[in-house]
Amino acid sequence: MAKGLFATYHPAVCMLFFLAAIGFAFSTQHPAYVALSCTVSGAYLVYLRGWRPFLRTMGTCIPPVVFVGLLNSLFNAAGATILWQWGPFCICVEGLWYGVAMGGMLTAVLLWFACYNEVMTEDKFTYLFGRRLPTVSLMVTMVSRWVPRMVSRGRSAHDSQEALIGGYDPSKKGKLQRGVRTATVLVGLGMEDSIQTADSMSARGYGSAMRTSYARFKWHARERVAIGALGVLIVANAALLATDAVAFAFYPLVSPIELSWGYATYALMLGMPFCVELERLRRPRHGSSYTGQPRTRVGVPDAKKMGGSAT
Amino acid sequence: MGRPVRVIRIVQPVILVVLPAIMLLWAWLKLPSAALVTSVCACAGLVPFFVGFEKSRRRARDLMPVVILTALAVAGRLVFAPVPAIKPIIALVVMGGLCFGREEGFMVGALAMLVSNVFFGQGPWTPWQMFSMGLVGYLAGVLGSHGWLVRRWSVAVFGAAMALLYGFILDTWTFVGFVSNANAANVLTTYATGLATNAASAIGTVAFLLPIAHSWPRIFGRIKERYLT
Repeated sequence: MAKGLFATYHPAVCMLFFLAAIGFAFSTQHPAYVALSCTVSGAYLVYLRGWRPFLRTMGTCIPPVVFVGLLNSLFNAAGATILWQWGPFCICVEGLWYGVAMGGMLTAVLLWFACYNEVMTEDKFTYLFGRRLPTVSLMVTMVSRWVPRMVSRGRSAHDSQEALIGGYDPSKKGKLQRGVRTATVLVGLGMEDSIQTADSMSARGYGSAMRTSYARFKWHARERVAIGALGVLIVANAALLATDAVAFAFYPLVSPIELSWGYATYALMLGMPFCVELERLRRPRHGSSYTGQPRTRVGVPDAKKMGGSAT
Repeated sequence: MGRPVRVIRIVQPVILVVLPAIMLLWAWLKLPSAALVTSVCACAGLVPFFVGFEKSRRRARDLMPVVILTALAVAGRLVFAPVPAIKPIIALVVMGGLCFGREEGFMVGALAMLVSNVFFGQGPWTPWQMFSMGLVGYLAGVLGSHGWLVRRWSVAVFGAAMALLYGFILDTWTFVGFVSNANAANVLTTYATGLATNAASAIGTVAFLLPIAHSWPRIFGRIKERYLT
């Protein structure tokens, strides 16, 4: 479970928040908005996972950001202030600024995705889409189960074949042959095994009616408040950000950055994971809201145990 | 099979052509917010396939080939993680489309990218990776149903072409979404940087496909006859 109260909110609230944060980060290269998005996403990632994972994420961001930044600033003749020119190649100050802003935008998006990965765990994703896309989420769940099984079975199939056939061939061709043989074994095994699973699922009534799912997340008053506030902020931001973004241009000259109310609403919207911590002030008696754990009732039987093992 | 499924089946090939066209048009006209628009487009492109699969009411058994091939593709990407660019995913997606049909092929591709990015990190690239890998599976299904992918070498050449197509779409997305003023120099630089990776991926796909191009369709044919009829 990710740190902080925001991760304990209903997955729909978290999903809407991340969609908005990533969508807005993606939609503009206005330097002030990019800087805000970078700062808040970085702060949230540090809060969620600490400094070291934050620095590691930044490290993986560097190659694409540098690449995109360079592509935008080199070979770009749209700006007015030319630094260097050689034939068709041209570097201008405006292009450099655009490259920096685009790199910042990409950093912000990647940081938001890192936060998303921490907060929106797979169970929440399946919970959200399990009703609307039952077949697809069943498949995603089964694939996630089969991946580690494939890796471990592949290892044992590989080892036993080596023991049976003998004559280890260390060349690339030998490796490829062994890999292909293992994959063939895995496909055959997997198909037979999974079709048995499917049969036992059908025997227990899969597909005969709409499934009910074990509701781990509840829709409380705080969820209603959060989603209302988020909706208002999204609309306000869309309007303010669009006006600011249209007024701002990189070419031919970088426009001056003026103060705007949009910065405040944007910061408020992005700061939502921190704002919801105010909830702790409201109900000092509930021990559970201090721990950051989801408030689940004790004694509800585990859905997996009820269903039994299907394999 | 109900009417909505038939409508969705007609929409699917249209959307596969229209979406990349929208992306290029956006770049051509230099419209703003290309990164956001192209990502939303890719997500929209996945909808008819996922909904079509959902609505077709397949039996639980019929889902299993997709699940197994996807799991193997993800496991393959994990095992080959230390080797840059060479991955068995495209070979497996091609096999999925070829042996089980176009919609199954799309699902193998799209789900393989979705699930493997849980391990490798979800990012703005996920929708386009899902869409292009799905396109690879879909095309394999179309060509397979016309009986064009029977010989070993034709499968291998098709696989190499698909690896290049996949790389081409993702490289195009890179400069459409993130580069202003797409001019010849920019575009060439983007493709040149991607060229080494794409070429390696194509060679890897051929190496994976050649040994299985004959044997796997036979194995799958047997499984289909035994369990899925």
